[in-house]
Amino acid sequence: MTDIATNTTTDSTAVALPHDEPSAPRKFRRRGRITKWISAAWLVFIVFTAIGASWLPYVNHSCSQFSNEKLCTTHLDTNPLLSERPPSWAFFSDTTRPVVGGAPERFGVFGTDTNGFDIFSRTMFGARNSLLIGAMSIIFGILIGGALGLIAGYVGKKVDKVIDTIMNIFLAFPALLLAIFIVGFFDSGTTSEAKSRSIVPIIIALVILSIPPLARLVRANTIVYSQREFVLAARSLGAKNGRIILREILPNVMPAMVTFAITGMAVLIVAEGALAYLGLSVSAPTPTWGAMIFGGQAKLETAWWISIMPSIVLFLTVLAINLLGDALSEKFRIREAIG
Amino acid sequence: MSSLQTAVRRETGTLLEIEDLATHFVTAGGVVRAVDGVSFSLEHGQRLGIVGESGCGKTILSRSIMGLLPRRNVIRNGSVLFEGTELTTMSLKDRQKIWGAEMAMIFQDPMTSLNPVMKIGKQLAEPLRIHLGSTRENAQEIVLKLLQDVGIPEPEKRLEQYAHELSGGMRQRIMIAMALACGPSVLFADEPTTALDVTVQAQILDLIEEQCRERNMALILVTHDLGVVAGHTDQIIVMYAGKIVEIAPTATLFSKMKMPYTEALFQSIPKLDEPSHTRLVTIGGRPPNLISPPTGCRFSPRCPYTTDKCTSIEPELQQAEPGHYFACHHPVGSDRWNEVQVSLGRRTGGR
Amino acid sequence: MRYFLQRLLQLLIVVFAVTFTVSLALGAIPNAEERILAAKGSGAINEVEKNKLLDSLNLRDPTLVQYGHFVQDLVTLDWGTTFNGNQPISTSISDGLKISIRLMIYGQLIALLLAIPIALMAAYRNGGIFDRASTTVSFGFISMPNYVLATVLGLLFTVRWQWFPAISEDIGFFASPWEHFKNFFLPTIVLALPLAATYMRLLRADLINTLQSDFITTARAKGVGTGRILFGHALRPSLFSLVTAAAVNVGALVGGSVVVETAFNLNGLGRRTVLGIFASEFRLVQVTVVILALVYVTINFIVDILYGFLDPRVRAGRLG
Repeated sequence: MTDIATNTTTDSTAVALPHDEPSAPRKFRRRGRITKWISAAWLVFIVFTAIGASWLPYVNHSCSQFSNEKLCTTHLDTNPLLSERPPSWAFFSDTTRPVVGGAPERFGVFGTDTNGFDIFSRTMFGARNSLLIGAMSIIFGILIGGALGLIAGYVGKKVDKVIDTIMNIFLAFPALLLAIFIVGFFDSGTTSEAKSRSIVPIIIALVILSIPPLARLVRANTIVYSQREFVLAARSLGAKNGRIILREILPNVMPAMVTFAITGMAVLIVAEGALAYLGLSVSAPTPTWGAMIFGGQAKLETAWWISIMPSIVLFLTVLAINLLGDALSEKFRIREAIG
Repeated sequence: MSSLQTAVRRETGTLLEIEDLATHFVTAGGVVRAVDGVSFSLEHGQRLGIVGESGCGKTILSRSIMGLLPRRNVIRNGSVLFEGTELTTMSLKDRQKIWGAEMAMIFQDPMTSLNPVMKIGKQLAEPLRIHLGSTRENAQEIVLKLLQDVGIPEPEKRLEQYAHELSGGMRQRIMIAMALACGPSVLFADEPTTALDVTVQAQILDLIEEQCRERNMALILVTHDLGVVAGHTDQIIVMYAGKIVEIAPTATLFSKMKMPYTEALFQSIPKLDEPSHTRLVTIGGRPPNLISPPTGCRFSPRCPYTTDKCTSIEPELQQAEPGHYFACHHPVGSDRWNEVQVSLGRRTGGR
Repeated sequence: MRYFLQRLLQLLIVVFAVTFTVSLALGAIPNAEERILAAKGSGAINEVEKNKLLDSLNLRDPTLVQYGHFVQDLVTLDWGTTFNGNQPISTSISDGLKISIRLMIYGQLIALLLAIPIALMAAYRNGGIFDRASTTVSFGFISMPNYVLATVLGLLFTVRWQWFPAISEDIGFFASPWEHFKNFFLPTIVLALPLAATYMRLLRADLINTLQSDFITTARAKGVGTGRILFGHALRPSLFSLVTAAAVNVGALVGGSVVVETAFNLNGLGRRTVLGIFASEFRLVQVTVVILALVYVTINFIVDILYGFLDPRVRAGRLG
């Protein structure tokens, strides 16, 4: 009933009869459906803001109400009057800075940072960069890692050995140090200050980080599937290798790859944050969540919200991605067990 | 005889009294009525066989009696009296004192039933150390005796070995030795030979029988194979879909079976007196779904003698002669039975 | 045995490739010379000193010669001093190692001490309240980046309540056990909690599998008590994934706890490497990275062999 091919060590002579009844009742999973929906809703929200940040009313449009000096039209304009205001709900937080020019004591849902930017709006703009970095990295990771894995698994022999060894070399370095290395490598300046770093070296570092595990996963799956009957059948019908890989093997490897990539994206978003935390992410005017958290570190004592609010958004996003990834992997496992 | 610690029991009388025992599993698909109202009793030293197809509830029944099933999502009803003590309401701690000491169990697959990462000697000594508080040396002495009793060569060597180093038959002997360690008054053997080579099967069954005799130990032998219980039990219970459908002393059952299901089981055993290549009679269909069993007689969808009565009224256990009960509206030898036999072109009359 | 040799060969290839890549990387860095000279300090350097420094790095030699010198220096432990001339590289590395290894050991210990009992309890009452609660919490910790955790804990424990110092110092245990504890507490916790969550999930899953196996029923039918079933029978066969993960982390954490080291200002090996990259201390970075990679690869190699001790079946399979 429940034990399908679980005995791996039985003699060939031993006839393993199925047990009478399941020895323990199957756990039924109705729970968690709500969490799944909440996670999905949160991600949809984040993705929408990431895409539409510029068109959404996330800017400090209200600062003109109490500032005569400057009209704040974009989220990039500094507004010293609004510097480091706690979120409007944070009654327990005293502001250390004096209130000037009729500016409110507390401001916005997330408060404001040292420059007087609304942290909520910056966090939403940060979503754009953080998600972009995560998504781009994982997409390139899949393309390169997936291709390597397919080739290694399908061709086998020497090609497999070579690719595997290269992956082992990458895996021999502590992951974060490798990323730091790569980002640092692209810095051509002579001093550590005044670097304008674009999004590109960060993506390259994260792509390199994501290739080996993806390649290994795809390779393992490819080996399994390339020994299946349908591949043999396709080959005996004269299908070319490229066609077999793309038409027969790839669709089967896809679920595992996509599931892994989803959780992988969460890992990469976190990794970008770690790079930022070490001072190695995109340079100042472009917000990423990591950079925002890092930026608030020095102000933790007087203005905790600068770091904490983007931290919460980052945490929730990673959590949501992980929850969905978990649900997805469970689903695919069930399908594999049936099919 | 290994009787260093265990006095040989010579008690007679009732050992186990099972009354209306039911075990239902709550699953996502519904309530599975694995065991559905079973009553019987077992004497000291009596050897009882429980027979039925896979999925008829016999394994669950034996585990329910011992109380080995998990509590979660399980509905249990009825009573199990062991030497006058109610087991179903007993706390886990108290039941653990009985398990291994008073009631022992051996399982279907000796490959997976021994701990793969624990030395045989330690596993064998475990019940002794738990229940009798034996010292390491004392336990080892008893274990060596036990291993000799169950016919294992070079017992000293085995103590230091792991399960994977032994053959299937050897492992089942180890399991038996382990079950016998504390001198239990009843041994549950759950398909003890199913996973073994045919040549080893008979040896193991003989060993179990011999040990039962020597120790005046009762036996509950669970199997799907009527041939297995035939030579090794005093009484047989035939189960179908969680219920007892026939219960009789072994000789009576084979000579005067009443239940068509028993008949069908019997016909599906290969027989020596038939010419070779005779087609075996199989039982058509599948064991019923225990979530929503068929109305009336649960065997009716597969029974050749089914009438309207069978599908509407559930037959109660009725007495054929003292000690022989069956649950059927049209038992073997009845008019309906004869009628169908004629129409099938088989010989008529009782067996 | 054949397996052992295969693994060993693979190890050697990786070691070669790692050292070669690291050696090569120096030559590939844009403006390496200028950056090295800048690292040397703002003070005027005369032409002789400059050439001496660059010569010692063999920057101008052909690739293979460069590699040869690099390996020679590594093996003879002739690592030189940092470019800024403050201290020998070997001192810097051993100081960093001391902190990193200490942090790694504390983190692993706490993580395992948390994970094993929780996993046992959760697996024993699989699906119960404790199981669901601990699984949810562990999921939270897995999803929480360590810098976020460091920020939150730092805010609570050093800013709000001021129980622990904001900046950890490397105070030896024997110098002052209390100060030592106070300084290492937060970094250890930040390191340990996500680890514990990962370990707990791994062990729980394996335990649930093991607890469903036949030999556990055998043990139960023998009358073995609950505690003994969990610890005596179920735990050991369920330790595979946990041991693998924990062992791999021994290597990974020595250099990989950069974030924690940075958050609490501990001058561990990881942090020194990052600072080294910023300060263009390429020699220091090269040596550190090679050492870290060696540690990591060696530990992975040992893990494979360690399997045998856990499961006699594997031992038999490999020897036979």
